[in-house]
Parts: sequence; C-alpha cells; structure tokens
Amino acid sequence: MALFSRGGSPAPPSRTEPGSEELGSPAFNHLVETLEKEPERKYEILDLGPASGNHIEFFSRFRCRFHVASLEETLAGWHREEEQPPPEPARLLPLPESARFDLILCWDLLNHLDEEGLALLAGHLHTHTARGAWMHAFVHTRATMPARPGRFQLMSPERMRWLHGSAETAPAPRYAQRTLERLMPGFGVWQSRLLQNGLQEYLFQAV
Amino acid sequence: MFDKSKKATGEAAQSPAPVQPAAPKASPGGGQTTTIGPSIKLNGELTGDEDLLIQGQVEGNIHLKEHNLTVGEQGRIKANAYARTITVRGELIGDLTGAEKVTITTSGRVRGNIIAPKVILEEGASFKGSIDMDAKAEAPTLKAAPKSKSA
Repeated sequence: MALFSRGGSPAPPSRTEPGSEELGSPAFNHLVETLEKEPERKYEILDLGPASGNHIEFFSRFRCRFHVASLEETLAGWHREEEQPPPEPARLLPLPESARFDLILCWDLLNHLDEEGLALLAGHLHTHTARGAWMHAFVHTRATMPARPGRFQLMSPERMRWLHGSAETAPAPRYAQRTLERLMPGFGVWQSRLLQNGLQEYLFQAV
Repeated sequence: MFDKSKKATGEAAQSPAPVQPAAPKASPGGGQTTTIGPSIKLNGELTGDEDLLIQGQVEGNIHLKEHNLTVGEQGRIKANAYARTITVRGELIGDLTGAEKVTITTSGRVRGNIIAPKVILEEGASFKGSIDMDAKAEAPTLKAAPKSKSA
C-alpha cells in the first residue's frame, strides 16, 4: 500500500510485533569506502528516514552535515483524493534552497510511493543534488512487503539490521530497474545487488 | 538568575505568587539549577551563568555560556539556544548550539538545526532538521537586548 498514492489510506497499526532480520549491504559498503577516500571533504547527507541515533553515530565518522527528513511522518499524515492535484514536493519535503546533497539515503521508502509520487520526489531531490551525488535505496523484489517503511540499523558498512515497519504486509510495487530509471531520469543506476532478503540494493548517481 | 522568580520563592509564604516560582536546585556539578516552572511563559532574550531547567514556555533566544540547558518534559520552546550541553525532553523549535553535546531523549521533539561536536538521539526521539557534526560550536554574539531576562 503506497503511502503516497491517489485515494490511499495509511496502513493500519500493527497488532503484532514487526520482525527484523540482518542483511548484507555490499553497495552501501562500496559507498562508504568511496566517501572515506576524501576524508577532508565535508559531505551534505540527507536521510529520508526517521531520526536515528544509530545513523548519526555512524556518519559522525565523516565531516558532514546530516539532514533528517523523516519523510514517512509527513507522508503518513497526508492523503489526497482522486481528483486532488499532486502536492508540491517542496511542501512535503521542504529543503533549504541552497542545499546540495552529496548523498541521499532512501532506505526502503521508495517502495511506499506510487509511480507519480516517486517521480515527483526524485525530481525534487535532483534539484538539490550536484552531478555525481549518490542515492542509496532498497527495493522489494517479492510480491509483498511490510505495510510501512522499516528502519535500518547500521551494524557495519556491510551489515545492517532491517527492522520491519509493520507485521502486516502489503503488495509491493516491485519496481524494476528500467522503471526506476524512467521515473528518476536524474539518477542513473551505478550499482545494483540482489540480496537474499527479498530486497534489491541500489546505488544511484545523479547525472 | 531570574531574580524576580527567586524573590517570588522567598515571598511565597507571605503573598500568593501569580506564577509558579523558579526553584534553584543543586546540579550534579555542584552549581545551581534554576527551574522555569510549567506555568511560566517567557518572551525575549534569556541569558545566564547557571544551569537551567525549562518546564514552561519560552520564545526568543537562550544563551547560557558555559552552562547546561534542559528542556523538561513539559517544556515548550520556540527559540534558538546556546549552552555547554543541551538536553531536550520536551518540545523545541529552533536552532541548537551545544559547545559540548546536544541530547534529544526518547520523549524529546525537535524541529531545527543542531551544531555540536556530539549529538545523541535516543531511540524514539523525534527530530527534523540538520546536524552539523563538523563545525565547532561557537558562541553566537548576542545583540544587546534592552530588557533581557538575566539568569
């Protein structure tokens, strides 16, 4: 169930404890290694997920300004009717006019956007990135997914703990690479890894 | 700090105070912590040379030099704040500069930007904004406030 979709409604609250599982993150590991190659560079990092002390602690190894968007919080409180025009992305995700991010962390949020919402968000983000900026994301490859976006705890650059957002499941959009490239023309797939957990790990680069 | 409030504490037995008095308490470091109670509403510049716990509502700017600021569970702040350490257990909208550390606890809700060498977000803390983990926290120069609340 897309959080950001026409006529959509928020997923009901979980009655049972959501699960969690460990997963490898080779593309994220590559990303960290790339960032570490320029220790003196100050990075602008945008985390679309909820505030996480774990993420802040992890990225404190870099000189950086770490922006927390908590996008799900905004989207969950917003539902539009069938005839309602799409919202201004800048209203859903207000960013400083001058912000140019070097890295955008999407986690599994893209799965919870419909195609229109995904294209709007990607366009908005692209205006706030410089050429060569990175975007990291997980895309569900199985038919169903947790009904709400999850949380990802960074155990090391190559290992994460995925805390499912909900015990309830919803149909997954199963975005294929060509679909993502069509919806996000400002970002090219730089690396893509199929993981064992029903997730495809993507590393995009702004073009 | 909050001389009026301190007087109110001393005079409370003689005349009913219209507002909850500030209550200085010993802080773990041995200094005093002054409390702005839940019924207090303050507007303007707040400066001081002792630790401060805010349980009330404050709008403006807070500048505590080398001391600690705590926004209690009942605190509702719309202000930019500078202090040695800042701990938010309540609600704060504004920019925070911590010379040493900024902590947002599980019950804390912050919208704004943080500059501090160390930032701790406890599990469940709500935060939207940016965290500058590089720049050294420098005390902002306060403009002279004609009627500042001296702490």
